[in-house]
Amino acid sequence: MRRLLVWTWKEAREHAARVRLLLVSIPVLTMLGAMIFREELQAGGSTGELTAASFIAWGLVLHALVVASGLFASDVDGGQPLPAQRLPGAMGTALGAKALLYMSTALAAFVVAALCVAGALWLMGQPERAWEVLTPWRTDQGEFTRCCALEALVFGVAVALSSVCLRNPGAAVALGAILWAIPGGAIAYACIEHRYLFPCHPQQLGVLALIVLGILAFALVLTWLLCRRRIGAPWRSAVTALALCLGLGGVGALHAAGSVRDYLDLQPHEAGWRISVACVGIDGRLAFTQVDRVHHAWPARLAGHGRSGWSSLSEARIIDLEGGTWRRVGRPGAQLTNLPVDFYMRGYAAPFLAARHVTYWEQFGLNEPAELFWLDGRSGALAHQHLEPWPDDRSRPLAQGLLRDLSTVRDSKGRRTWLWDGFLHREGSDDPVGVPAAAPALRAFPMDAIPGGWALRHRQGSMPKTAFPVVEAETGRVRSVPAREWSRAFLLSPGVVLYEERRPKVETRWTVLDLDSGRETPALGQVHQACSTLQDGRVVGTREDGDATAFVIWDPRTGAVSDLRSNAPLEGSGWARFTLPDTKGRLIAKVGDRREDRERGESTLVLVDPARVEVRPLLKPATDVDPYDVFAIDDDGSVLIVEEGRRIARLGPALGQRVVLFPRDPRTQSRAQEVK
Amino acid sequence: MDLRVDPSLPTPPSRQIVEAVLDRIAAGVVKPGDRLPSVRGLAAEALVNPNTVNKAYRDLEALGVVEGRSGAGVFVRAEAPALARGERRGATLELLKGAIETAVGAGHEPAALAQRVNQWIAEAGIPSNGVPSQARNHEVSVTPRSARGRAAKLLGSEPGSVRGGA
Amino acid sequence: MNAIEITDVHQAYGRKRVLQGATLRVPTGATTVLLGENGEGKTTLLRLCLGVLKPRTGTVRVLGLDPVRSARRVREQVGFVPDKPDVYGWMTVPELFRFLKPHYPTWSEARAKAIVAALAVPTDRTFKHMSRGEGMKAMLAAALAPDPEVLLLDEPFAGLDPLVREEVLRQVITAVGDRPRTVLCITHDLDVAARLADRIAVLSKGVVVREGPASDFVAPREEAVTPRALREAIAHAAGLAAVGAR
Repeated sequence: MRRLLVWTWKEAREHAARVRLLLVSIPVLTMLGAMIFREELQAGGSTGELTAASFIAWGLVLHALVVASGLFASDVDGGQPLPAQRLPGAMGTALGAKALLYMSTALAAFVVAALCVAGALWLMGQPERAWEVLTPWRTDQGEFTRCCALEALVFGVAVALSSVCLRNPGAAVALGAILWAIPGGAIAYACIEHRYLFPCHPQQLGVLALIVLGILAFALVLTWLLCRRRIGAPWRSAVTALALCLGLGGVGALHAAGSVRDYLDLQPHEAGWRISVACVGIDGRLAFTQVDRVHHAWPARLAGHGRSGWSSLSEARIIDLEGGTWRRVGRPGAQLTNLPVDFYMRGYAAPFLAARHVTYWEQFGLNEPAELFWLDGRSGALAHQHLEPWPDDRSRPLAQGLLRDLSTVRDSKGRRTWLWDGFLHREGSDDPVGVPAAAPALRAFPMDAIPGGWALRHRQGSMPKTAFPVVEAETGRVRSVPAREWSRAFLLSPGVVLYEERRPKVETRWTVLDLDSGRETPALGQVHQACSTLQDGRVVGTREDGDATAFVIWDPRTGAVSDLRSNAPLEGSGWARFTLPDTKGRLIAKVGDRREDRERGESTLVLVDPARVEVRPLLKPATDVDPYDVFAIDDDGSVLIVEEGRRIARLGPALGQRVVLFPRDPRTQSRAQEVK
Repeated sequence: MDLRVDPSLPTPPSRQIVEAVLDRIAAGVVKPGDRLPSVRGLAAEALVNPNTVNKAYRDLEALGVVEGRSGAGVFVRAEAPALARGERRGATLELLKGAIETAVGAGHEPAALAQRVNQWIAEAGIPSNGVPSQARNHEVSVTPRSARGRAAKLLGSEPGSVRGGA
Repeated sequence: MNAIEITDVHQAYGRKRVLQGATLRVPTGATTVLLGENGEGKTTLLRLCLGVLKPRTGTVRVLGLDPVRSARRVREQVGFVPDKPDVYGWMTVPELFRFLKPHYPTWSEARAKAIVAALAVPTDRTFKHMSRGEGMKAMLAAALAPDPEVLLLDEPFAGLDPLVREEVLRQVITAVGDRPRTVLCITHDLDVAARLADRIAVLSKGVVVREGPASDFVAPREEAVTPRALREAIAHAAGLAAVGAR
């Protein structure tokens, strides 16, 4: 112990001048840097945080240049045995003392740099950020700081390792930079070009840096200890140590590369993927899907994420429904969207909407613009791509076409309508109607299509709690519905809205409201819930029919109720969960959705086709199906459904008909057919 | 004791020490009952291996000149002066013989030589106690080489070497 | 019982072979002087004794221990004086002693101070600013302060002026006289060799060609081990080595 103390004293005395130089230069250089890069430092969000983190990390880089480069110089073999080699028990003690000195000075450099950066931020008038810099645990700033600091530490250890062989500090720095560049460069390349390997969490980059740090430190210790027996040959010791580390690291790297390749080359029979969203191309041959992946195994496991939960890393894949094959589209991380909108929130494809084009976007890097890609719905080939902001001349007509194809809202003449860029557009008309002054707020968020128009569901700014705006498809007028947001609303005709009032602990109440006169009429009567409206203003809904659920059409003017026929009894309590209607008014409902129904194990999916006045059950009763699993409705009444996220099947037209389209059974070359 | 050992001489160092001690005992510088320097002390002074001094002391003990009292050191015995002189007489006679042969070979006249020698003997003044008066007053450095030199001085072959009232 | 036993050792620095089957026995309590031509063999032998080098082949035993395996125990009992001060130039002598003390359980501050005083080593200057002689004396003091069983000296007298040489030699002899101590001294100074050696070994072309008590090294028809006799012995050994070299 005393030996260690005396060695530490010796190291401290020996490096005192260097440490002093370091602690003086850090504040000076930090302040200089803060002045030069003041904009980046002051910027909000990740830019500012990353800049602050890199400034702190530079303290450690300076430490590496000034202290680490000369750490072993006085004990590096100059051709004769040196104190560390010939004094009893000194090799280990010397290493320990140097490590102590290194760690304490690195910590000091880190703290001083952090204080300087915080000070700079405080002087620039951002005391909260200064505080964040000083208390980096568990904030985003902290994660950035951790990663940058770890990378700088790796550099420092690489330089220290080089200084075991080289007396000259400049040479040690150069060699250390080369040693660092190999893993560092590899990690940087992976981060920039293949960021999907490190899905969103900077923590996982930290893990990698930690591994590299460990390997280099191990090489350092090994080199130093091997030097014991070899005077005049610290190089040989270093080469031996590095070769060993390369061997270990190489095995690990090869394994990692293999698992990365397997990850990228996803096979349908593997686990770890599921289809979260699907839509179908215009002629039904191709399915465009968003496939969620599990985190890439090894960095996630090491960072403690493991395989629990699906990552937000997903891929866009095109599935050939006729051939039964799939391929990835774009890079991992690409997001399918069928709503080409010019706001930053993007949603996934609405169901059953087969469009001429399917879009997806990619964005990598913190501040890079997103790139939007247009795929042809028939072939899956790339039709157009462009960067934000958009639209450009080519994409403008594409966007209009897409919105028309996806429109579920028709006016009284049966024309499809859509909102874009503050205007109400109608199919076949060149005369868009301007949506009035409230529009800028309406443009900021996605508008939900409702029968007869659109509603703004996401309350923002000065929107009252108990009312939400709707836009009429017929006129383009903005009206206010006096109910909480997310209440269901149907625009029966211009100025007339059917809406539900949801109140806690009370049954919901449906009301027909005349927005011009203000007259309220209770609605629905024996009909439990409204699902959709028809062109002529009649409402499709459900009611209880003994032990079954019946789908009905209710006329709000006369109150008459007529049943839709079904070719099988629909057991349930009269309630259903249903999707939005598609462009032809058809919708999918899950009958028997109440808890008591589920406990009895009775719910089923049905296709409700008001135009043909019929309800068609699709499945025998089952408990865990979701109406949104159905993503396409064919003209013959069959549907395409995603089963349990793993399979695509065609159900129908007759009850019990089921064909699995993807993935195909590899044992048989033809389509696998199961008839229940 | 101001003793010097010269390893380039043909006489082994232990023998050089023995002779030096004997000379001092014979000249009365070291008297019976005196304690000789410690082995390590003499070795350090003479710049020789202590084993050399050990051997010298053993040889002196074998001659009967000194006796070792365990723990206390090495002491000069009462019979030492007589023994020493006896030892040295033989050696010095050899030296004198050699010096005279050299002088005769250099061309000195034998009769004048004899006269000179008698004169010096008288001057050396052997008192009744047997200790030469000259030796009483100052250290005699008794290495063989200096002995030869002295003899040469005695015989007048070196200018300005006459002492006292010679 | 031999304090140091080196048996059939081969050593090389890269391509250069410095020891080619050297065998040396240094008995306990005796002072052995190692003579030989310039080259790295003699220093290499000392390094092997310290455990700083591992022999390619052959064995080395110091005080019965393997200096590589039991490095700490061996080094605690072996004092080493290098041919040039190998410590940090910014240290003063008191700082050096403070640095060395925890390494040696038998370190005695009183002894260190006494030797420093006896040799008149300057205590207020750093090693960088000391003359060669002063540095040498400080190294000797450092080596002797823990009262080692074995003392290894690598050309301690080279380049010293006669006064300092005498001081250093005196100190070494005092150390040997203090108590039985094994000394292995490499030197070119044949006068010192003649004075100091109980045993003499001659290294030539990587092999110990001749080894034995000092008294064996007298010239024919002479009695004493003189520098001249040693010089002839070295020349003769070199000739032998040239003839019988492997």
